[in-house]
Amino acid sequence: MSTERWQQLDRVFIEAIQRPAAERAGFIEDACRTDAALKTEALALLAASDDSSEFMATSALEYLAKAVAAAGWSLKAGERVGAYTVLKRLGAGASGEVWRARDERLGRDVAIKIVLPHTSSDSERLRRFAEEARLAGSLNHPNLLTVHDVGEHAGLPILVTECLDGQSLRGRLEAGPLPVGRAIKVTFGLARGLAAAHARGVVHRDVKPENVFLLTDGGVKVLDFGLAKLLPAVASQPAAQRLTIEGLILGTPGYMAPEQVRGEPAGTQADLFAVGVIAYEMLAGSNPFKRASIVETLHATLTADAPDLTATVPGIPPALAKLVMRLLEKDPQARFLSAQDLAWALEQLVDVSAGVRTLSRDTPSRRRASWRGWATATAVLAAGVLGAGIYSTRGTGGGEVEATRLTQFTWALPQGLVLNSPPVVSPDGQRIVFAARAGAEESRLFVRELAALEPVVVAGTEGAKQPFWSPDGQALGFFARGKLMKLALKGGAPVALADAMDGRGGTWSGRGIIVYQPDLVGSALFKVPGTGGPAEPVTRLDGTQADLSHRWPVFLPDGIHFLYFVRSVNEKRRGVYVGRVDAPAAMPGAPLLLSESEPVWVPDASDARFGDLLTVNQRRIEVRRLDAERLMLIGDARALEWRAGAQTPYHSSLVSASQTTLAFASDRVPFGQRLASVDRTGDHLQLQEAEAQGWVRLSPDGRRLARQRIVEGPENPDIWVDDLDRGTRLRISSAPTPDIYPVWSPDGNRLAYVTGNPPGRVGQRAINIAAADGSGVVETFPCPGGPDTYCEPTDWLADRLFVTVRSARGGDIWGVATDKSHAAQPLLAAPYSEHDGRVSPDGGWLAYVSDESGRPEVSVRSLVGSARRIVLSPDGGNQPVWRKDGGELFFVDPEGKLRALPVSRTNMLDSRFGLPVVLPVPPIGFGHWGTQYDVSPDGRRIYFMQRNRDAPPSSVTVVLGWRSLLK
Amino acid sequence: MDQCASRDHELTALLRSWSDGDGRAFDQLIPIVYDQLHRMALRYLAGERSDVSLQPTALVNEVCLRLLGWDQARWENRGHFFGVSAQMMRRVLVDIARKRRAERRGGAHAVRVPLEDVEIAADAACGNLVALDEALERLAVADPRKARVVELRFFGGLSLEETADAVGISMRTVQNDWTFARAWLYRALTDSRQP
Repeated sequence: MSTERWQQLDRVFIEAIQRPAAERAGFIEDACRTDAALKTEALALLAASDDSSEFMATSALEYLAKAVAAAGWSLKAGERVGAYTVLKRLGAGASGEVWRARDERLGRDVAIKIVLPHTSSDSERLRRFAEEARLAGSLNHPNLLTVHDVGEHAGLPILVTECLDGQSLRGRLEAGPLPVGRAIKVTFGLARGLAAAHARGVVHRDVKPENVFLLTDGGVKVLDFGLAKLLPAVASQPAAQRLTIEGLILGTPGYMAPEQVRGEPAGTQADLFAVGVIAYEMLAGSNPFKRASIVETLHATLTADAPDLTATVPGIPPALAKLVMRLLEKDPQARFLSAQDLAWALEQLVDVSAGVRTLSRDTPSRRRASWRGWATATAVLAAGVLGAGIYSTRGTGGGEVEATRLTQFTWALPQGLVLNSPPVVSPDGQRIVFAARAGAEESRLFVRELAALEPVVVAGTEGAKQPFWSPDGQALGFFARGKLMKLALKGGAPVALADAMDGRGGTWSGRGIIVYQPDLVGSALFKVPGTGGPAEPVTRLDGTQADLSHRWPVFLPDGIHFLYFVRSVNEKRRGVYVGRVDAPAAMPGAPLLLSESEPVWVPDASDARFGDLLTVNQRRIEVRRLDAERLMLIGDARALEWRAGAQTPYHSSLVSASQTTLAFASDRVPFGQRLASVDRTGDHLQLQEAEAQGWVRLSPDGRRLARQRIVEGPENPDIWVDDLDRGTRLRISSAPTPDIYPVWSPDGNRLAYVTGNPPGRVGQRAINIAAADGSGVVETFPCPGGPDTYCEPTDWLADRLFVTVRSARGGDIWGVATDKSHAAQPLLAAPYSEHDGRVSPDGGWLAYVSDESGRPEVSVRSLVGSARRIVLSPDGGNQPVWRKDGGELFFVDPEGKLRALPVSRTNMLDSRFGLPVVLPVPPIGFGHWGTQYDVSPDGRRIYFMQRNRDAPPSSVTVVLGWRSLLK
Repeated sequence: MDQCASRDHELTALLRSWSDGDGRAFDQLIPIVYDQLHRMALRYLAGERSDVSLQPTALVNEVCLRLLGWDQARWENRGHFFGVSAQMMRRVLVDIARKRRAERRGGAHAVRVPLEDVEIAADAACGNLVALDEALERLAVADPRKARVVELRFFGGLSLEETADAVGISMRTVQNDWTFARAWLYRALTDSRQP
């Protein structure tokens, strides 16, 4: 169409449309009297305009969103949903979509169901979905769909379940009836699954072949548990498939029980009726009540008796036919008492019926082996990564059956929470306590009742870690804010029992004694009465064996002996040892077991003298029998198939167990740090190598970087120097003990650092001075302040080292002469903690951290004038660092952010400290252990340690009946 | 510097390249926009609206502002910003519709999943959106201004007033263009004997 014609059309159409509707066509007729083609066009456009009142009435986005709402579009491939990576969409339904996703942590695929709302009034339905899904999730049973996780994604509820391989029973039935043996097994699986659900008060109400899934491995699953009654009356569903009354699904015609048809409340007996119909259908190949129309089907359900199975299915065991007919009784009370009764009846049928032997075609030669074979197949699964269960059934005298049940399930911690200590099972196996934190928040304790779905936060446990149970399970011990604490679960405030700066493990005996380890570094074990009282040592570090610490104690049943872990740089030393609380503190004797992990002890129920000793080796959970009276291991280790997070220098292995319950997390708690550098403006972030390392210190010229690195053996850091210009690296120390905290001499030619536990000096550490060119140690002298202290050089000015001396009462700042005298004197030795002293380049001021006010604060004192302390950090802070010219002081605030404040001086005595501003660099972290960054001499570039960001564990796997695997 | 900041820089650069006619920049933009839109559509679906009807303009602008940043210096004027937003929304929405349509034609799945499966028939909306986009291309040849009005109104979610502002014409003209274009497009989509 030419531009001219187009404009004519536009004009005529617009003029027409501005007239009353009735006059428009007439106007066009008149206006185009001489131009028939134009008239046709304009009239067509007018007609289109009349018809298009709804067309483009909403924006494209809303248009698309409606399409999405109608057909679903919730996730996309590659997207992360919680711990899962979405792979592909498997299907869409009326209420939502199902996607296949990968759980990388556990190396398995899961199905994620996401529920899409249809109308705004759906919020109630969504709420109930979540509720029911949680309930279904609590029904951990091999015959029920395993729910791994219930959560929310973008505000929509999601359900994460196992991903099943197999087909629905409906699909199988299309190929004809099932062999009798198989039909019994499927019915048995149905009965067991429903029994478990009924025991929890959950009635399915919509059992039908579509909701029964046959796994490739022979297992049977009941699906869509508890969801059926939540389904809305969706118009898009064919009426023939579901009957709805006032939005409530009553069931599916043909499978509904008579009482459901009559609209009476449907109880567990209704589910049994449906099982009967399904059993009948599997055997006979057709539904006994199915008719041409819904009304006829419902009528038949109420009035017709199913045709006798013995007539329809030749060779069917009479007992089986009778059982199925009994399920189809019109009177609910005439069916079976319960699904459990049905399961037992089926079991006996298999065991005692002579007819089954010939009918179990899939296992023709082994009469009972068909059940055993099934159990074994499932057991293999259970031991593997897939959650599943075993039933090992064995008949006893009176025909009763005792079932040993093994169940594994994994639950995700509430959104955002990550574990930082093992999930610790209570003595009765019913509860699990763990320390977890969200983001940068303090860690807190949570208790999950296994029967409940959500862990409950334990009030008053801010900062808590390393929890352990009292023997009666009524109280918890833990470490928080530098103390060993106890807390009664029935209420009451936490009570501090002893100082414990950074505890590593506790255990509580039946005699009321707590053995614990009070500090991460260089500590043996102590005991304290659970009711309070003085703390006394129960072990002593053996310096000749390079003991680093004694940790993770666990009491044996006599309440006198305990097992504990000796951490040592000596491989032949690391392992599990036995100590006792009724004798003076002793050094470790012979090891019970050399091990990379601490012990977990589980006494036998029948005789507590014996039990299982669990350790984690190469992430594998190993189990050994222990005679706790003779303190001897019996037999060899057996490894469970699961992988648990291994021990790190800071955390124990993430496994614990009681007689019934094993709990573990698969990933270890991430530790270690990466070296990074960034401009103070936040630009040019560079990540150096990823490895455990720490405490960076720039040389005075800013061209070399000293730090500790761990390159060989576990946990034995040495001092290294990087040449930042050349990119080369030089090893400064290589002692068999840890060498840490390097500081440069003012001329940049030497490095002072602390070296740990040299042989022969128990608990003592020394300061080494080594040449910065790697040619070796020049001098060694003891840490100042006595034999039981631990020290860290923090700065070096002229011929004086500034050293933090740590003892049980906190830190003090000392000066130590670097000349031959090594004369040492305390500079700041108040009763509160003072540490990390850094001297201003002109020697006029000492910046340091003081907790005089009750929190760490960056403070300065004049070294030449008044002794007045000036607090520089307005909200608390630590890790002070001077710029090389002294014109600026950096520190870290409690949020971990780096701050800088200007320092102006007229002379040595008169400095003015400005207000600190936050620098836009990544958070440094508010670690209380040393300075985690350094600043280039010009103050422009920050070198810092970035925490290892590997995903911390956020889920816990629980195995009930785990000991049955050892039999 | 956090990831968001760097992403914003990246986006700005991509957007500029795209405005300068670099088609590849758009391909890089798509997944980012898609992701953002996806989240918003989900929120929309999740019923944050209940009684309050969806505000398309707000939504589109939120997407674009979040992605591009509202920076006076970067945009000549509001009209420029809206124009770019609407173009982007059009490209994205049509792209999504096209993908969804293709997805729906996809094959059967090998693994069954537990769910009360009721397959929904391929939604007409997606097909329509793709066809509409094609028709809009034809309209743009005959009458670029009307096509632009449609783009701003329908894809950009702008009101009459905002559209007038963005195009630099009177509201009355916008109304006329909109009425005409709607009728024309409707006819193009429903009548096989298209003009």
